[in-house]
Amino acid sequence: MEREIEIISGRMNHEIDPHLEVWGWELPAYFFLGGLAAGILVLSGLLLLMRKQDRFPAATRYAPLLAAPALGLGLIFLMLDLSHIAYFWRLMLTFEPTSPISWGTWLLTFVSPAAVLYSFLVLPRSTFLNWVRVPVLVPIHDRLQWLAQPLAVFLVITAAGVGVYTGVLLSTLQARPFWNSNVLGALFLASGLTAGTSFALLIAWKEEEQRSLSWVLAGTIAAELVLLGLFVLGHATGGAKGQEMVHLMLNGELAVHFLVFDIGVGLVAPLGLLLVYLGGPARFTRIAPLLALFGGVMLRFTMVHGGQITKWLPY
Amino acid sequence: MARFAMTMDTRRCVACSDCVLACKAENQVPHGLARDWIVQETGGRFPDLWMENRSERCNHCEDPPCVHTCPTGASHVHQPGGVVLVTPNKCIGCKACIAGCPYDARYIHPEGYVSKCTFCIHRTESGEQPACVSVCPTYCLEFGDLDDPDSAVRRNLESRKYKVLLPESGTEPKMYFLL
Repeated sequence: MEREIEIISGRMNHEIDPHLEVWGWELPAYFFLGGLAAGILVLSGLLLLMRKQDRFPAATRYAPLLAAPALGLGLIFLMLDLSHIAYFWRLMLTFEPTSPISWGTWLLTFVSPAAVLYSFLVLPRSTFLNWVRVPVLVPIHDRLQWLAQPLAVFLVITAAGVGVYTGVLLSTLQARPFWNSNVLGALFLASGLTAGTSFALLIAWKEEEQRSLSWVLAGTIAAELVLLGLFVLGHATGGAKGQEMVHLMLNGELAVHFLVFDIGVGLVAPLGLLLVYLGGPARFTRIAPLLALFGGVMLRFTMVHGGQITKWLPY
Repeated sequence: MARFAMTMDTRRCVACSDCVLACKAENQVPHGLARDWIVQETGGRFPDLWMENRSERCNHCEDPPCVHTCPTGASHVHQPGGVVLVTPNKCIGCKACIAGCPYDARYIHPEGYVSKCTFCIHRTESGEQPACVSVCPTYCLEFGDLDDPDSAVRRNLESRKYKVLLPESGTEPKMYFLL
């Protein structure tokens, strides 16, 4: 039966109608940077706990230098997104257990200083003598070494929380059918690990580390592809609205973003390049991690935009 | 404890928009924004048509997702009455509540905080009716306490068929549309 719905007066609210546009570039940019920092810290922490820091010096010792600045820049983007920014300090006066943003705020409050201290502790002692030439830091560095392992345990757990919570934040917003998926938390964590591993691979200079990190990156990309498959499958089996979401991703407004940039350029292409390199015939290049980082950015933009253009009511 | 709700008679509403204008005037809703609005839904095939007019606003849900997702407690359920309100000087403008509302009943006030229908709490707490209810020329809007057996909303819900918007969302809206 044909139906027509018309709003005849009152509502054409700015950034609400005809569909939400409340979150611009700032939030996905923050999601990416938070995921990148989380991936770097989880990877470095795990390698340190497995005592692989000598085999993976770039991933364990140097990559964490980017974690705190990435979190800092991400927080600046997050602040730019707030429309009532003068009251941002209200976040620090309460803990709302049902709000993922509240969880994220407190996670970042603890992770950020821990990341600064951790990145200082895992740097080689020689850095302070030969590179930055601040020898006064050496005794402090030596005296606090006992903290590196406990901090690694703390950061593996809490940074994983940072990676997960952004996805959980979207998936709890049930009002937007596109975000109605329980895999978003795991997907964002896997994407964060992909970004973190990509950055480590970009700065890795030892061939052994390049090869091993390439295996790790291939694994996280494969995990992302599986989770994206589950995301689509979950919608495909989710009734009429779910079918609409599948159409949106595979044949609709999001198709180019989703299929070309997120999956094609961002995941399949780097995975292919890595497998060719790991299979033997090709030399190592930094194209694959660069593409994977690009894919991580695009995925966040697709996800944030996709949710905002979907709703349950037809108006 | 009181549970404030509203009924809206879809058979009486003529979509005159008086409720929209009264709300804007009473609550000084900024230009270009609205806390309530009229939806006209038509169906069928000419000449066999049906039409439904609805005056819509925040549903003041019993289980409000906007409140659950608010990181500062700015969005809250005001008691007594169970009315969903926003405290402007607690709101940081993160907009999670806007994305969490399945009815798109919220907007960003030009001053930055999130705003919405309050069931005219400043009037109803002193015994008056909300502005939209008080001006309706066809008396299609009624406001009252669901727990009061003598209230107009309770009597309407006991004597008439009704629906709520998106019952499957599980938010338990307290804006009822009489059929």
